[in-house]
Amino acid sequence: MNAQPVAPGSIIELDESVPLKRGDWIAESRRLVRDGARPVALLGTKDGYGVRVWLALASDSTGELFLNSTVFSAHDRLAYAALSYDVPQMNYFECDLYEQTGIVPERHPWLRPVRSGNGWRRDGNAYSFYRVEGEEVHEVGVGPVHAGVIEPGHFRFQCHGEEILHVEIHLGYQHRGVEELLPRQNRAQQLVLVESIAGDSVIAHSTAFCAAIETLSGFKPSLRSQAVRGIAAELERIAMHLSTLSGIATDIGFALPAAAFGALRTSVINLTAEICGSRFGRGWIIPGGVRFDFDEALIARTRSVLLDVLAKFPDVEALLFDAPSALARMEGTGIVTLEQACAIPLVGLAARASGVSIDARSDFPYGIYRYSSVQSPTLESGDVYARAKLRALEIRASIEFIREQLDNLPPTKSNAPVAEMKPNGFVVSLVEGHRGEIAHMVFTDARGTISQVKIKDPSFNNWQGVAVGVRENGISDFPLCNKSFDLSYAGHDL
Amino acid sequence: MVNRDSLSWLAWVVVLAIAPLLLGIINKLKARLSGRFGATVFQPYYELLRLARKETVYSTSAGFITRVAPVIVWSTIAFAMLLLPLGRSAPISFSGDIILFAYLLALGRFFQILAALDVGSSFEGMGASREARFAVFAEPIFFFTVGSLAIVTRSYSFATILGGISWTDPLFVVFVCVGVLSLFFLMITECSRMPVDDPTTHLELTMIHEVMILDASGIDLMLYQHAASSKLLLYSILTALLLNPFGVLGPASGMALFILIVLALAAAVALVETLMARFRLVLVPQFLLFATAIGVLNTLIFTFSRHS
Repeated sequence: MNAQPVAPGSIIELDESVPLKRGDWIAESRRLVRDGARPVALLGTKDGYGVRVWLALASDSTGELFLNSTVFSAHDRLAYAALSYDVPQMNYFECDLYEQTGIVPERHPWLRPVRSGNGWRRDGNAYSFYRVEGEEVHEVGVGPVHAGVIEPGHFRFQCHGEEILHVEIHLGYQHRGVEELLPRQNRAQQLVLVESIAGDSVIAHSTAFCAAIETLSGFKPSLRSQAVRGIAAELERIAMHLSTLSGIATDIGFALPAAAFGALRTSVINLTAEICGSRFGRGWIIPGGVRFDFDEALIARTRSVLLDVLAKFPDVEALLFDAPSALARMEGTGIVTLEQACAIPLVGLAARASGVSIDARSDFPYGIYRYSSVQSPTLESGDVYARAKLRALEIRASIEFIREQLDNLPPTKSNAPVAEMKPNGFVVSLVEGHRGEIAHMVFTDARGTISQVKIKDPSFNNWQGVAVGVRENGISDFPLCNKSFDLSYAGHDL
Repeated sequence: MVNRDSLSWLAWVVVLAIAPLLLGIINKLKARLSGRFGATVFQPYYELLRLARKETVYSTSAGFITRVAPVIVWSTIAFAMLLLPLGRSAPISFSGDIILFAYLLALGRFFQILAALDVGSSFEGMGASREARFAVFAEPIFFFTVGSLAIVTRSYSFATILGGISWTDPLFVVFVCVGVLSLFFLMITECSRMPVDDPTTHLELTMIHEVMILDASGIDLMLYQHAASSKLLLYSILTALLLNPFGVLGPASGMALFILIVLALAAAVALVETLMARFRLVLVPQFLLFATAIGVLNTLIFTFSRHS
């Protein structure tokens, strides 16, 4: 029995979708991943008979999305043969499933806490960190409270002198229960909550969530609102990439580009504030369209700000990328190879820096990206330099895209009311945030209200990339490697 | 040996008092160079005042070393400052005071490292290890620069060595120029400035000096901070004295030139910190060996040409 691909952003009728037998599900999932599909989400939903486990897989090269499921009924043993035993891509997803549902992936190579923090485990046994034994091996624990004003996370290093042998990243300190809260809230509350998943990916997350709701309602947003959403998303990408580049410069103690990138970022987020009242785009995207549209004056203003950024960008970029001292720090540091990137699997910018050509905007086009494409370059070295350089390249591409959109803004009215959602539906919504693929899976119950939500921020995948990339690097280079990924703790912890 | 001239002692007090100002000037310059307005040059004083008002908290694993180290570290720097002649003879001066100078600083460092280890945190242990490792490479720079001057002038006190520098001898000119470069590298290393250490970073894993004082608070931290800024001024003064402004221009205009040189050094530090990224930690010893190497080369040229 072969899985039929579903189009992303189309409704799956829960009544019509048949769960597979356990053995078939495992074989089928394993075959799909072997054929190049990448797990997007693994989640359990409660239905009348027990827990139904869904696996969403994306085939980036063909642009197909596969969904399959199996049911663990009330009298079943809550265990199955772990896919990650020989499919490394599933590793962290199965940890997540175990933590959320208690279904044990047996023979899992490294079942560890995802969000539970402080060594908690479902089976009651305390989790102990992976340890490297040896005469000269020492352990360094960093966090969860850090010296800078950053999010909390615990990093447990196993070092030999200054060299990192292994690092275990322990998150969950920011867990707010987004997935549990969403079904219990009204629409206005849901939007605020979705915007708070990751404070720097407000637009991407709200776009993904609104797209899911619109699909479930059978609503198609106007072309104009899609274009405005695209502009919003690219503005967010530009601002956050600039912010990361400033952070990279700060972390290597390079004051001039740090200040220069920071200044550029301020002008971009201030532009966002001029458009929608919030520097991070809160309240801009709503189901049915956008709350703030462009008028002629704003279009002119946006054009001039972006032209200004574009004019200053080459000089600022050169400050960082033409400085031998900065290149010496970035090149060859924190390498994630193509094989590692595929096995983790990395998504988004970090994956593209390692030579994996994936981008939800072109692989699973949504919104305005169905009509006009944005350039998404790929680099191969997989080091800090590649991740930094790629940000610079994407900033240019995004500015180009926005200017194109502003020139061709469709004249139609942007907003329309959204109808009730279909009952017993399920939709997968994929959006490319500035870090990578954001996936929102929304289920509705028999009354047509949201019954369950599964959210996957790119940080979920890419934290594993940080852990792999820093091996055999100096421990003093860890902050730089970490910043080059610039992941969200909150997005991972939900 | 002990100078009874009260003005020398007054100069010592003034120098210790204005040490944080130099740090403030560097920070201000750095801010202006990177296009920011920056805090006032007196900001380091406010910081010290703030720390003085705060409670001093000790880690439960800290022993007596942690309590005595701040005083010892501060005292060694202050004592070392007594040995430098500032326009007039130094408050304390004797043959061999350059050795005392070097080892006073080493003693301060020793207690700083002990205090870091005493806390028992893995961060501080890492910082202590880095400090100790880099000290091995930094110490020869001092001896090759000041020590070789001592050999040539055949005296072992700052007063006679620095007084013996003559700008009319072209060999001295070459020596002093290169020596100033070596001492500048030494200053950057000893005072934990870029590109060896980043004094402004918040990243514990990359720190050297800052991570060693991570557990210090209140008065202890104030003493460490003041000692750090005094150390920066100490090395600036030593570098400036190598150019012998007082010997060339006399006391009054000598003092003006002296202040100018110290400010120029501050500007150089600010420029370096603005215009380049920090070294990868494993490359720091190479940088220090480079400074040592030019010191050695300089010494060889100088010594052999004297004897021939």
